[in-house]
Formats: sequence, structure tokens, C-alpha cells
Amino acid sequence: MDVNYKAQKLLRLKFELDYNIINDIKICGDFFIHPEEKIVLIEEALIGIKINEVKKIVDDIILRENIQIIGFTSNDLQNALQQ
Amino acid sequence: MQKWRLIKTIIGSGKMQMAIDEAMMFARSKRIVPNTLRFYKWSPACVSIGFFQNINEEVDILKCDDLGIDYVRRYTGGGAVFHENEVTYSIVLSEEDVPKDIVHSYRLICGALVKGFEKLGVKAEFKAINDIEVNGKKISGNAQTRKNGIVLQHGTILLDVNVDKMFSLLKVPDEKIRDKIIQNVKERLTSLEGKFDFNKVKKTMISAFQETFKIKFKEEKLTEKEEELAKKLYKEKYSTIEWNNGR
Repeated sequence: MDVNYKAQKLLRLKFELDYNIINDIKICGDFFIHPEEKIVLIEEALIGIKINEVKKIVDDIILRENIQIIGFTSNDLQNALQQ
Repeated sequence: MQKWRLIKTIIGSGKMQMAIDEAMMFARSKRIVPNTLRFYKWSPACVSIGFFQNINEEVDILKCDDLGIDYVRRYTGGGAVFHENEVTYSIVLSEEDVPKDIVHSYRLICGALVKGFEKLGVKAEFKAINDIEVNGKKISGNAQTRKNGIVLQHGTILLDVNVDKMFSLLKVPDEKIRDKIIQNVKERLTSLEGKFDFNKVKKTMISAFQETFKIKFKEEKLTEKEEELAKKLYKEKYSTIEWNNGR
């Protein structure tokens, strides 16, 4: 499934759902993540997760891995997936 | 007064410019070179995409090939940019010389550009996250990455802009409303409207950077190590399909 979601920057998501559970996800867009390479950790952490748990999982991982996201929030990501 | 390095204008492909920026950042992290500013030109014209973008979603590759326009994925986040009639800068500096907060550091570095615009008689202002605007319209986009205690920020100063040409190369998120998107960008984008040439803008911005950071620049070449690394990154990273396809 492809979703474009306008947060402060544009989120372009490609994902597969099995009922409400994320099987695969790629997070693209014109946002910033520091350090950039850690986006993979966010994507991996979301596999097997229910959509309504996305915000909590992303909040946990950005805190644990000291990741800074500029241009969208964990809430935006969850809302985009719920669309 | 602290001396920072200024690199002479390099005219080259987008892939080489991105390789040089990364090589400068690496050299700074190894303390081989001081904080460094440079201005450069993209030849041929080029579309760059952000680190988190996918080239096939953002760029009409066939159209680029037809028109002899290059494309490259940046080391930094942000959006797709068509680089043609612009002054591009990059600055590499220690994290200690900018605020830890990333948006605040954009504000500081972009503040130097705002001062430069003022010197040109153009009233500009920083617009968070990463833009500079004149009369509420974007004239400069900027992008930053941080690695090993070093900040790399690069950005554009539009000398002139051709939105129709830009959108002949860029894909839009929703093709059904392409015309509306183009119209919207035309209303939100501006430039120096051909009133100043590259060298005038460069010289003015150098002076503004010196005042902002209270430093003096010394013009030098890239070191041999930087040149070697840039050639390697050009070949093994920025020229590869794997890198440029993006995410």
C-alpha cells in the first residue's frame, strides 16, 4: 500500500498490512532524521506491530537510540498508516 | 581571529560535488582541515534528491537523460531540488561551533545568508525548518547532516528560477493535481531575478559568513587526501545506481 501524508514535511510510505499488523514498511520523504542511517532501525521496529502501537514504538526507539526526527512526529506516522 | 578555510569555486557534476562535500566533512572530522566554506556550480545542471527519497518517485529519469541533466542523491535529507541557475554553498564545521539543537543551528548558518541577502539589498528571513524567504517566498533551501562531531550544511541561493523546466523533470505526489501543484510552487518560490551574478553573490556571502562567525577566511585548495577521497566517493558511492535509487 502507498500513502502520502502531509506532516510538516511529506511522508511517503510503502507498507504491507496483515489485518492490522505491519508486515513490511519503507518510510520515504523530504524530512530529516539524525543520524540518517537509523531510519532502518525505526522501520525494523515496526515490523509485526499493530498500527495503533506505532506511536509508542517510535517514541521508544527514538529515545533509546537517540534519534532526532525533523519534519514529522510519531503521531503523524501512526495517523498516516491509519488513513 | 580564527582562520577558516575557503575553497575556490569548483564547477563540476552533482555527483562530484556531493563527493567533495562528504570528503571535506571526513577530513574535518580527522582534524586535517579547519572549518571550511565553499561555493560551487553544478555542471551539467542536476536534480538532487534527499537521503530519504526514492529517485523513481521524485525524478523523471528519462526526461533528465533526454535533456542531459544529471541526478544524484544527497548525503542530507530534505527534498528534490533542480540545480541550474543558483549559487550553492557548503559549510563543514565542528559541532562545537553551532548550537546543539539542529533547527537553531540552521537558524545560525542561514542567518549568515540572511545577512548576505541584506548586503545585496534584499530583505530576507529564516523560515524554520530549513528555508530562507523573501516576501514570504522561498529563495533558499538548506540541508544538514552531522557525523562524528562535524556538521555539513549545504544549500542553494536561487539566482533565477524556471519552475516549468523544474517540473518537467520532477514527478509530483499526485499527478491529478500537477497543474495546481506547479501553480502553488510558482506562487511560493522566488529568486534574485537575475539581478546579481554568481561571483557577486559569492563575495557578499563570504563577507556575511565572516561577520556572523567572527572569523576570517583563507582561500586554499582541497588537500590531496580530500581529493583522493572525493574521487573514491564519486566512483564508489555517488555514481552508483544503488546509492542514487535511494530508498
